[in-house]
Amino acid sequence: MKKVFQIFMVFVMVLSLTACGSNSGGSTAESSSAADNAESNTGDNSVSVEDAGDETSAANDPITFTIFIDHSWFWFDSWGNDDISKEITKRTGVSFEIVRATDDQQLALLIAAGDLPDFIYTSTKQTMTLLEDSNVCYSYNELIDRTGVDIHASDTEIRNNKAEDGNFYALRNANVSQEVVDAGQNYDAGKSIAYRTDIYEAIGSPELKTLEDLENALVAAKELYPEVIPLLNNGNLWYFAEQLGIAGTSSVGYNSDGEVCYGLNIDGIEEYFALLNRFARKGLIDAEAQTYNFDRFSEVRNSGRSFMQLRSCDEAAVSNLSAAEAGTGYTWKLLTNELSDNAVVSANTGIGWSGTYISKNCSDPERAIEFMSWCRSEEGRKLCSWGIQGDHWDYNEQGQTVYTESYQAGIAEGKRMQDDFGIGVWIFGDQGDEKAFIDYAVTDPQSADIIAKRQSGAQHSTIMSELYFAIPTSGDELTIYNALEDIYSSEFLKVIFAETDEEYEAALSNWYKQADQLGIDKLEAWMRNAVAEYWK
Amino acid sequence: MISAGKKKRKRTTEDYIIDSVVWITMILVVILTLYPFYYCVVQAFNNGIDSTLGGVYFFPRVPTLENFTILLSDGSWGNAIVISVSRTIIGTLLGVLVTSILAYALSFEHVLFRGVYYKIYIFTMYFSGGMIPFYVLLKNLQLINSFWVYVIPGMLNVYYMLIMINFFQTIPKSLFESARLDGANDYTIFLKIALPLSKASLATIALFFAVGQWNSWIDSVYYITKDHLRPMSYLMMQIINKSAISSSKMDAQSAAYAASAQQSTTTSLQMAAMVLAVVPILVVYPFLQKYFVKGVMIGAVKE
Repeated sequence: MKKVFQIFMVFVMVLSLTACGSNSGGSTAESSSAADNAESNTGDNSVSVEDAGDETSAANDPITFTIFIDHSWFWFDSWGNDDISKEITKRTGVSFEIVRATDDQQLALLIAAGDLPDFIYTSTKQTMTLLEDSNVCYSYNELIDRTGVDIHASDTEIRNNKAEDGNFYALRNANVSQEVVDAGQNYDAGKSIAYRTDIYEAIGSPELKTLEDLENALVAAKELYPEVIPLLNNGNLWYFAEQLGIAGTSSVGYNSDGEVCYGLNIDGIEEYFALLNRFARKGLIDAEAQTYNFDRFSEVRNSGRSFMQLRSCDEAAVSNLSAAEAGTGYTWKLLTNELSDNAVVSANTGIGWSGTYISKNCSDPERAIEFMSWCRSEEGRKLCSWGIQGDHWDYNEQGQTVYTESYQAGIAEGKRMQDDFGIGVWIFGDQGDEKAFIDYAVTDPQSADIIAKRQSGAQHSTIMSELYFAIPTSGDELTIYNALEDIYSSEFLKVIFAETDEEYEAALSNWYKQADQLGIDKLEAWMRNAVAEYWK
Repeated sequence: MISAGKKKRKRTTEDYIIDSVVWITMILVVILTLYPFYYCVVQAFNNGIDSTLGGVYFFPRVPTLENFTILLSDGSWGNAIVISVSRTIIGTLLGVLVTSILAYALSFEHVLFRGVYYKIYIFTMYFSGGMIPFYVLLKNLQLINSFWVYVIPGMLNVYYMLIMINFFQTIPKSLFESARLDGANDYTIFLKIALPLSKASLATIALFFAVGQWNSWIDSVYYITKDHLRPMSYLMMQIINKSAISSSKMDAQSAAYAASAQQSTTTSLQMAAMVLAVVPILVVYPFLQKYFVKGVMIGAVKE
């Protein structure tokens, strides 16, 4: 009897190994198959088109979508905690259950496992390629055809977002054209320098109009305050390449023949390396600071061990707030001009930033595309990028848009636009021309400086759309590109912190040699071909 | 009459030198090992803004409990502590139970298909299906976004099972035989004889399970999206990494947005989070240490 029982238990164990769980018992909107979605959507399609009279009530019915935000730094990980998201829900009925990415691999895992939420908000090019698949996500054109909504997109925008199959599965936000930039309707402050006023006055308050002026000021500060780091940077050293007029990013740009190339071969790149090497040899930038994370950067700054900081355009405001909290008495001011007439601030591809994809698991794809249409409408863009009229902004007597006094007071107290007000966060439909509108009636000097820097940046922005398509997303070229990127930071530091000319030449030569061995020529040949395809 | 006591050997200069070198080396090792943790505790009890000015090394300059108050007043931390404690207790109990039952069974040579089981379990120590199949499996088992994802997949640890098998094999079989002659069945023998004799190995694997459960955060990253199921280790990881931009390959626009989202978290707050996470283990460990020392030698000496 005991043996029979034992054999029975073994049989049960073997059975349990072969049984597979199924989704049928616990099906949810997220786990429904593409076929099921297609069937149910055919039925829903007639409702949304024919019942036009009930469109408003249907469109505003409360609905909660799930969204995966593929930005681990994103300001919020839940909906409804700020003014703007509450207002969005009030106007559209839509709210979100947010899953914020914790690392780079999470979205790829969800895609591979077929467990995507209703929406995906991502800017990673490789992941976008995976999402641009009719088995994974709905194409916008398919949903537009079904619902008849106006997605408010230009032909250029649609062209820039077309996938290999000819459909477009998202329209990247924050896109911009050269015309918009030239009209001053888009500003990108780019990287900015903030300097400590007490040290600046001690060295004689020199002009800071050129790179040479900056270098001289840093040298003077170093002589007067040897224990202070003259220029403390939190990454961002590409700022100097921009000021030298180098068009591109550290990864892709143009060579001396005007052809697209990898960062190492950009025209003028050696001038950039030489400038930084000179700074390093004079002790103007610190080697250890290149390893600092933001917390360590903040600690060094707050303790008064830096003269200038190179970071973002709110660096002076953030520094002043921290100094006030710490009671140190230091004050900072933002450098609001570029250091060269030829400066190329932010080689903007114009393609845009993040795309909002609607997955095949979406519970209501028609409602989803209607929501995206609203986000991209003037009403949606103004609300998400500017805030609530009357609360955050308004028109003055001349019809110009201005911040309200209460909003300005909040900013002056140290509140932040995104974190405390939610403005500029839910910019799913932002089209890049909303940013540069607040020019007037700004009373707070720090805000005025930030606006001045942004306007300066706008005058030096160049749209280079083709650069976006010059970065590979698959194949051998991607492997080569990743390998080159992997060695970039270490070799870059060896070059700029070389202590003698011989060391500098040797480090640079070694870097180029490694790049050759990794296949930079093959990568660049692919880049040129990809750009040619883009322009066809 | 022969003297029973030994004559004490006279210590030579060489003995003193060697002892001094050993003492100095061990003191240095202790300082190097303990000081980083001591530094964390000092920072945790120092005012956050004051910490950013630097220079706090041995004692808090502006002592305060504010960092712990901030953490514990955040509702998510209270909930996270409950999740961490629950998964540690439940995960440890279930892990010890399942692992010990299986180890006891496999410790007998005469078990049907024993060799096959052994090969399957050892195979899983070296090879796995990968993250995606595992995720799909968990999803099919309805464990995604469930508390049980912390407990069920990790219930059986093959390495701990091997430790227990070795230990059970050191128990004299005659004990089991005499119990069987007295009318005991396998369950009674396991519960009343095998387990009580295995306190050392049970405590060892319980400690391993507990520490593993307490520190684990990667499962909450990939398998949990609901905030109320996040454990403390996940929140701690978030606080410490808050200022870091996760990908070095981030595009320029993302980097620009991320820069505006960055807020410095004071070192003190990060250290307070670390102290909160480590203290429970530190409290429990001394009580289990004697078993752990015994457990290290389990299976090393055979009959």
